[in-house]
Formats: sequence, structure tokens, C-alpha cells
Amino acid sequence: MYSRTMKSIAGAVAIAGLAVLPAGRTGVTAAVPDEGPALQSVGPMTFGPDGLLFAADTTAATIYALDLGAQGTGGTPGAADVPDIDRKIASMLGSEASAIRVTDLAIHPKTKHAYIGVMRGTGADARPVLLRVDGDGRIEPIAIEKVKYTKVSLPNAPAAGADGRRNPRADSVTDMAFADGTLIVAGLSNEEFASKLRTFAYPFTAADPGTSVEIFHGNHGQLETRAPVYTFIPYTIDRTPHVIASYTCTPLVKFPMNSLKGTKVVGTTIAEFGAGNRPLDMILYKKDGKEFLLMSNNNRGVMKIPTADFGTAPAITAKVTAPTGGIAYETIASMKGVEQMDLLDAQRSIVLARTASGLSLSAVALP
Amino acid sequence: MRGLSRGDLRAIDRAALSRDRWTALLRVAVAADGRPADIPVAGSYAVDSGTLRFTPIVPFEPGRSYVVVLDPAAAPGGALAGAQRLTHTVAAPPAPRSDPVRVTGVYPAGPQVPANLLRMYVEFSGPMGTRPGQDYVRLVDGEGRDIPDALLPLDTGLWNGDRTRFTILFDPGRVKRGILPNRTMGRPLRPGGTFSILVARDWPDAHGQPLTAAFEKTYRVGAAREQALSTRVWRVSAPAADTREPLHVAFPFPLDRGLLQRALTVIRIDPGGDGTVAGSVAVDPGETAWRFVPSTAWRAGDYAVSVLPALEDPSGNRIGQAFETRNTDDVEGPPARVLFSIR
Repeated sequence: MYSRTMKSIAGAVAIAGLAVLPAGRTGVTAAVPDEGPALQSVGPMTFGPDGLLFAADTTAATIYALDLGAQGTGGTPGAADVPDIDRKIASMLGSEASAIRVTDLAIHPKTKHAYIGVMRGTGADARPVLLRVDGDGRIEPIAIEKVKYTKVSLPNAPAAGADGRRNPRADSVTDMAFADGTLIVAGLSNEEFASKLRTFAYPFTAADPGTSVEIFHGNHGQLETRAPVYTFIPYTIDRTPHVIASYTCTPLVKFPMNSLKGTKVVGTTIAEFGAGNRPLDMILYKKDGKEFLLMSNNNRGVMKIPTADFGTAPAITAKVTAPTGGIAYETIASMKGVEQMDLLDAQRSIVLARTASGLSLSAVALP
Repeated sequence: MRGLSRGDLRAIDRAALSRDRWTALLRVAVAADGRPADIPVAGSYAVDSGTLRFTPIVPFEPGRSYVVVLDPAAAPGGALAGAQRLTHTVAAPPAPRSDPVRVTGVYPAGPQVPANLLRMYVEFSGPMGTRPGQDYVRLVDGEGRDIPDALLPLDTGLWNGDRTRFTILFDPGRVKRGILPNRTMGRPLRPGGTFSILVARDWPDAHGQPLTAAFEKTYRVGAAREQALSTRVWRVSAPAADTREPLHVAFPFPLDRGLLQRALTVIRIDPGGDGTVAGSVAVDPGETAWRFVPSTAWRAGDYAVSVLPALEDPSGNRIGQAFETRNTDDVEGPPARVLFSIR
């Protein structure tokens, strides 16, 4: 009887949209009810203090505030090491490591789980996925369709004329941070060379298009240029909230948060880095009573920069000819290939680092 | 999966299996060299209308094979008792074939660019994939040597909406005067020299196919352009009334092709309220002129070409504001207007 049952089973594996080899069969794809946010992509992410996850859908020029609900709870607190995480994620997403791109990593402020934004696929079929790694190293996909959300759209620059002209301009979001009830968004345009740092009050309101400030960079000869901010972190200097930002032209600058309410900000340069370098991520931490900024870069490794002089350091005005100028920093040789990082706790950061075998998630003692 | 008895399905459904137990019962994994990957595909399981159904969290990849294993030993409450393990390899249908994509142009069109060039565009005949474009673009000098650190290493691709145009930014730290990368290395392009941009053939399109061919273009390098743009040196050739002849606006040197497509508007000046004139826009080869063909014939009267402040040349200079300037008090001025009349 069972052999007969098995025979009939054997002839009837029909997975939606798939063909059984060699005898081709197709089934019917079940439609998934679209309840959650219809993410087209997932880019930079940042957590609000209560575990609200802000995620940028760069393709749709939309920022989502995701309430993870029950999916944000459970699991062992913390985030354990996961070697070859790109290969593991690829298997879970029915693909291979070369088709997986990790777009950001953010640590939940309460559970300390690591949330990882991933794009699976590199073509027309690319799909965004959000995953969570807990203290046992278990990788759980977040069911996006079950997440409650609110969203804001980034206003696109106007195309002249209301004649239905194709507007090829697009903004990509490069970094986001949440500070004092405000979401700050940095972006880069595919056309004009300009940077508008945008701020949105949270909770989002439909009537609030956010405010935007044109960001400039003053060089040492007092020339100013529009300059996109690539990555940044909120930072308090002498009880005054500031933004420490890195421009695409590689200086590290500071400006007060309240200057983001104007129309124009010129950052004060506090350090400079050489060419061909792009800061990827920054985290702030304290060690032995001193505070440091840890900055990962695409080709200069990880830099440890003491923040003690951020408030008092004069703007760089002298022409420095050393490889880097301004505030001194130390390169952390033990942290190699870091592509994403976030602060885990007072002693450790969580990094995604590229090794010979692929991408690994690991907790690293703060240097 | 069909063909399981209703009794077995009911038993499986009633057991309300955990994700791990579901996976033990029905495991779907990527086939790597014919063997299943050690981590299964994540998804949801359900029993409905006589079917055991697995839905992956993202759709199966076109053309990829998966190994499906049904293990009766993992079935709950005696379901599938005595049955044998079942293994099947299945494949998602391949993606529809599409015409290979080619590079239709690289802009500025040239033949000469300023030494402080900040931005270029690569345009394609069809949508491209999402791999970082900088991996497929090289700049070489007149001797064919790579020009190191010339381009900004970005991890966000600067594409238009349908992924047919890719923006290349030169590293602004080297283009801008007086900051460290510029002082230590100078600008990547030297006046009087030449350079070539090489687009590799293996840049994958939206379907993962390579381009039809590699693309190469050589430019002469001229002096840097460090002055603000001025509409005063533009030449407007006004067409005759009652025709649909193009309006032609000529510039003394090339402007940015991308921005020209959206920054200029034709306004009919009318005491009762100005109105936008509908029509189509084209940028002349070499980006030194802009043409506008109205949807309906021109009426006699006074007009203006309105210019958004965002308009730049390929070195980032704007109207009334050079890319590098001593004073940028006026951050976002009103659109500039170039007046003309039609008789």
C-alpha cells in the first residue's frame, strides 16, 4: 500500500513555477497577500532607540519606519559569530554567494540582535531581504509582509516643464542616523554634484516633506564647493549635538545639528584622508575613560580616531603634506576587510568582514 | 507536493510543526554540483486542498536547480508510516531570453574634456544588472597605463530609473583644489594629454548576460573649466511663428547631458500669467546645443527659456556659481531666464 502511495507521490512533486527534471511540470504560484511594505530594495538602515528600524528603499526613494513587532523579540540576545555568512544566507535565499550583496548591518538597541539587509540577485530579479542573527548565531528571515510601517518619500528634484518629460535623475541614500527624534538622511544624486542632508521629524507625517540643507566643504584656501556627505554619525560636543560626517572628497568634518535647520552648512574639516578612500561606517565608543571614533574604509582598513579634540581642534587651515592631515589616528591592523560594522556593547563591535572564503560576521573587541 | 493521502496531510497539518520539524519533513535546498546545499531554502509550509506546499521567502531563481527531499521518518503522529524517502531535483524555468545589451554612448561626447572633469555617463541599449559599475570601467592614459584612483569608489550604483544610464563620478578629492588628495596626487587628467575610458564586455546586464562588445573612447584633455556658467553667452535661434520649427539654444562649451534633459523649460510670457510650452527636448551631439520642438505651432509673442539652478557643466560649474567659489551665499537662486521673441 505504501509503495503505491510513494509511487503516486513520486510523480507529483510540483513546486510553484518549477519544473521537475527531467519530466517538466509546472504548478501555480500562490500569491502572497501584500500587507507589509512593498520594498523594492533595501539599503542603509538604522535603529531608533526603541527598536524601530528605519530602512531606506533606495530604488523607490522611500524611507520606511518598520515596527518589527513580535519578530523583533525572542531568540537568544546578542549576535554570535557566523563564519561564511554570505554562503549561508545565499543557501537560505535559494541562490549562491556571488549573487548576495549585504547592504547594511544594524544592531537592535535592546535585543542586540544583528539585522542584515541583503539584496539577492544582481539583475531584473533582484529581491530585498531582511535577516536577523541572534546570540546563538541563528539566521532568521524577517517576514516583511507582516511588519507594520510608516514611510516617507524623498522628494525628487523637479524636472523642468510639466510636459511629461522623462526624469532620469535619481537619489541614492548613502547613510541614515536617528538622533533627538529626527531621522537624518544623506544621499547622492546621479546628476548634479550636490548634497542635501535631509531631516525628517519622527513620527512621519504625510504633510512633512522633510527639510533639506545644502552641504558645502570649505577647503584651506577658503574655496567652497558643494560636497555630498557619504557617511556620518551624530555626536555631542560640549553638550551641543553635532554631526561628524565624511564627504565623498574624504575630509572628516563636523557641524552642529541646529545648523541643519538653515539652507546651507559649511562643515569644519577636522581630519583629511588621501585619495581613493571611502569611509564605510563609523561607530563611537569609550575605552579606559577616553572616547574614540572607529571608522572602516574601503581601502585604508579601520581607523581609530580619538574624539577628545573634536571640539577644540581648529579647522585644518595649514597645508598638510603628510599622507593625512589634522587629527591623528591609528590604523587597526587586526581588523581587515571590514565592510559593515556597528556597536554591539561597551566592549565589542559587530563586523562583517571579507576573508578569502567569503563574508563572516563576528564580534570583535573594541581596540 | 501532491499525492499524499488526506489522512496523512491532516495529521501533518494538526501537528502544527515548528520550522525545524517542517524542514526535516520537506527540505528544499539549492543543488550545488548536483548535491543539496547544507542549509535549506527558507520559506513557509502549508497544507491546503490536498497539497503540501512550500513557498520560499523570495522566488526561486530562474534556471537554478533545487533538491527536494521528503523524509517520512520526520512526519508527525505516524503519518507516512512505512513510506520511503523521496528525493527529486527540480529546476525553475530559465529567464526569458533577451537581446544582449550594448553601450550606446559615453558622455561627454567629446572629443575634448576639461582637466577638472567631474562626471561622465555610460548609456546602454537595455537595462543593466546591479553589480558595482566601477568594477567594469577603467581609465587609461595616452600610453595605455591605468590612471590610479581617478574615480570615486562607490558602493551605491548611480543609475537612472530603468538602469540604462550609469553615472561615473571622478574622485572630487582629486579634482578640487587645495585638499589633501589633490595636493598629494594632482588631478587625474592632465591638460594637453589624452585618456581613454574602457568599458569591459563582461559587465552583466539585467539578465546576467555580458555586453555585445567592449567599448572604448579616447578624449583629448583641455584646460580646466573653473568659471561660473553665464546665460549671457548662450545664443538663442528663435523659429518663425506658425511653424513647429525647433527652438535652438547654443552654448559656447558643452554642458551636462543628463541635466540638459530636464533643466530647461520654455515659458510663454503673458501678462495674464506665464505658461509652460509643451514639447519635446533633444540635446545636440557634443552637448553644445539644446533643441525644443513644440507640440503645437509657435504663436507670435514673447518667450523665455527658464533654467533650473541645478544645471551644471561636466565639471560641476553652475550659472553664477563656479564649482569652487569663494562665496556661496546664494545657495539656490531663482531659475535664470533667457528671453526671446517669436514673430
